[in-house]
Amino acid sequence: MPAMRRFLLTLLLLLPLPVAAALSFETIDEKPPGEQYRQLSLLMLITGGTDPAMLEILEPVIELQASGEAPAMDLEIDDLVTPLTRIVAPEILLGGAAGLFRFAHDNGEAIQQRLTTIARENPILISMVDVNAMAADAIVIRNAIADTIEYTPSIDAGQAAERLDAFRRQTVYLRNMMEFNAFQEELNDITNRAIVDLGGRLDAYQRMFDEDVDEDLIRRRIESAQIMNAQAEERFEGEAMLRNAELMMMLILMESQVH
Amino acid sequence: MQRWQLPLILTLFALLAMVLAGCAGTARGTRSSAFDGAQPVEVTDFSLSRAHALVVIRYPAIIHADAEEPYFHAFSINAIGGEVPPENRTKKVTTRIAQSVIAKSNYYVMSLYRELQRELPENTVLLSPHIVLWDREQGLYSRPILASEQIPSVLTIDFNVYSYPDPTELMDSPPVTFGDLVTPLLVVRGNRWMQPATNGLVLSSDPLLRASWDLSANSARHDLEARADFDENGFYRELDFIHFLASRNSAARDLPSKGLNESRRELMAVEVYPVEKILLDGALLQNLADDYASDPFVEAFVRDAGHNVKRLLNQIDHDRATFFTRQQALARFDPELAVAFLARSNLESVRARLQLAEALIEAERKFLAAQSAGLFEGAYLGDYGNRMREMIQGEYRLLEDRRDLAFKQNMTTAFAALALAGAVYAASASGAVTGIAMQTFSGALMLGSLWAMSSTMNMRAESAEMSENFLALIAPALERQISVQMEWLESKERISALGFAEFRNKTLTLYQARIRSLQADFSDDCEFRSPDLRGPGRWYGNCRDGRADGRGYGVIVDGSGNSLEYLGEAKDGLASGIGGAIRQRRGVAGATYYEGRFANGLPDGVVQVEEPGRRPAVREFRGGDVVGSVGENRLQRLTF
Repeated sequence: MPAMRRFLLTLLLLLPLPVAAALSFETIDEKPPGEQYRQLSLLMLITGGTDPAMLEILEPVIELQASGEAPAMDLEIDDLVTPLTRIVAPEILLGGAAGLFRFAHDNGEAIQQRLTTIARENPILISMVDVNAMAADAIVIRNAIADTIEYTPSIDAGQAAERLDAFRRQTVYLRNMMEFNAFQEELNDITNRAIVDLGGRLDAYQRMFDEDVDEDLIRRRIESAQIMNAQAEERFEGEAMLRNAELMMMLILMESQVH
Repeated sequence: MQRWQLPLILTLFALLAMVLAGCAGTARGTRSSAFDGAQPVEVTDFSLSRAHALVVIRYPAIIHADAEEPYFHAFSINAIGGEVPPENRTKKVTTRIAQSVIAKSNYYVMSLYRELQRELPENTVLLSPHIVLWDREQGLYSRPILASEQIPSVLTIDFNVYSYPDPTELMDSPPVTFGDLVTPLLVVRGNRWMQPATNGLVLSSDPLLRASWDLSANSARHDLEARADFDENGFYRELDFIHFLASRNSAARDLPSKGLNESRRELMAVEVYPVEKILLDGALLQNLADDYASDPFVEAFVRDAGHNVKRLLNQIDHDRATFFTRQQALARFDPELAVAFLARSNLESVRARLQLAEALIEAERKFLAAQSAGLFEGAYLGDYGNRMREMIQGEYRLLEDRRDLAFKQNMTTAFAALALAGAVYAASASGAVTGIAMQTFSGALMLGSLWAMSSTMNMRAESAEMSENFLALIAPALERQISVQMEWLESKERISALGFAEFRNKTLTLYQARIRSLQADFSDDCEFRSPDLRGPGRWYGNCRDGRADGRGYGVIVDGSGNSLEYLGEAKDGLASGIGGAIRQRRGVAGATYYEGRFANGLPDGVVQVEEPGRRPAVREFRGGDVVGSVGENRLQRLTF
């Protein structure tokens, strides 16, 4: 295994990564506004809810890097998402994470101001940013950081446990928020569609009624409306059963994988 | 008869006529309601939950054919404002009046809905139309047609208008809804945790007080028993007005009550709203069918009543008022989460799932708000509303003509006008227009004044003609609204209900696909005890060794009318820590609420006490006994 790790580390170092590009406003300013916004948001999502003491946990890694005992390489935020970095070079990853935490901690207010400014100046561009996609990336990175801290020998596990636990709770919260956003979006869609459908049915019925009142005709139309609704309900039940069948199939497949 | 006797008899008759004129004078209606002068307020909702509605308005909308006879019977024997003689109870005119109460309630409730909807945040006012039913087991009752009452709401308002069943008695100035006269009946309530001392009842029309009180007490009892036995609560609260008609019990002397707008507002008692005949502004009724931009019922009553509702909304802690109704709503589709909710858990898995569940309820609220808006459009802005306005305008013009005529005839104006109101119902019920109208009118005259003896045939003919013209205008509208329009409403509501069922299926499927497991175990059957109440108790929430321990909700019902509910912290099966408790004692109207610190199952420390008929007070307790008064600043409140 150590041989494999060395091989992957070499491979990683050979990759065309933007080496020595320490995180700073200057490096970010070079990017287009949409990318600036995305990177700064991602940074905030990665570091959000952590207490400054997280830096203390990472201190031994920073010291090892400074003394040359551990590989050092400045990573851009997006590099942390790649599985290779997470698997092969935990010290590099933690070094990058330490840089992120420090930068976010020192410049939190300025970053938020920049985000507001970019959004104000580029409303169309920012309206197209997919927050949930960023949250998904942030969750991957946060989990990678937490896992790496846990398995890095140079970090005192007992000392880190409580802070790490809080960091993981925040990550779960971020995930839940992301899931809620997706749920809310779909729920709004169903609600709005249902309201429009119902309004259409009631309007149609109102129009029937506004015409010359013929009781027999009205009765027939009531029956038609009932049949129409009943059919809609039956159709939906059919869809629900199809989904259920899909679920059952998935369960069967999962069980067959186990055995 | 001796010569000296004649002037004496005439004088006595004249005095009688003056007395009757006085009674009839009050029958004109009041221009200023008891709510008049209520200050306009802005509603501020500080609640944490977004799921709940602020107001649900219930009203009688439709009557099932099987329920018509029992309803007419109950309506005639349980009259508000007098006792209908047995011989008058079976007349067809009474059934027409009973029907008109439902038809006009359908219309006038929309004014209240529109005003509150306009003043309160979007999608927070819902309509809940009821169908009146009858069966052998339950007798006369009502049930909601739509799902609005399943949505947690801070306040629930029962609304209907009323007319006295016997038109021959209109001279006694009973309540009536005809033309420019409207008699509204109201009940305002919330969940019992909102105001435990009165089981959540905050305002009631005087005659409905007993019925509303009994319903609130029954509702509390059923809920407690269901929670104690871990059963589904099958209690549906029928309309308070229908319960009043069916229960024949209006004695309310022993109940904690207070007048409107009194300085005793802080008392834990039900505000009692007197029966009022509201007089609408005639200028707004003259052309009501064509110009209804300014609603006369809003101007005369609803606006001030709405201010009162908003004042109540500002006084109430919304999270406390809706805590248990939100829990019931959750239990409907996620029982596991509903128990965790009672434990008021801070766990992230509970919070996240609760966020999804509350979003679901919020979506249902939006859908039901759209349904309510649809009902409003049909019943107020649409064909139904147009016909009702035509009818009200016609009634008003007739009343005005009658008042003019009565004035010319030197007769008590309101007396003559109301006599004719009864005649209209009678005529439209029988079809014998002129005959019955005149008969009723003449009968009233004979009772009321001596001048009828000498009135000319011309004047009588004029009266008859006017009645005939009016009925030609009104009767078709009455007939149509009661038959076809009701069918229209029913079918419209059926479409709405089916639409909702379809919508709920979809949202529940989405919810079930998205939820994750709860990362904790909450029990629904741990032991909960109290030192001053026998009987097994049940605890929902955190437990240790099978006993209540940590946060949760406990209930004890001893089967003889005593009960205890507790929401808060517990230790070793007893209330210990910060909490709130409702204590119900056998034979005592209402309940006592304690909020603050508890130890070993009893109030211990600084506790606020709310008792029926008294002001809330903050007291220092030791082992369940009061040892002194303390400042409110030392009180630690329960967070709902």
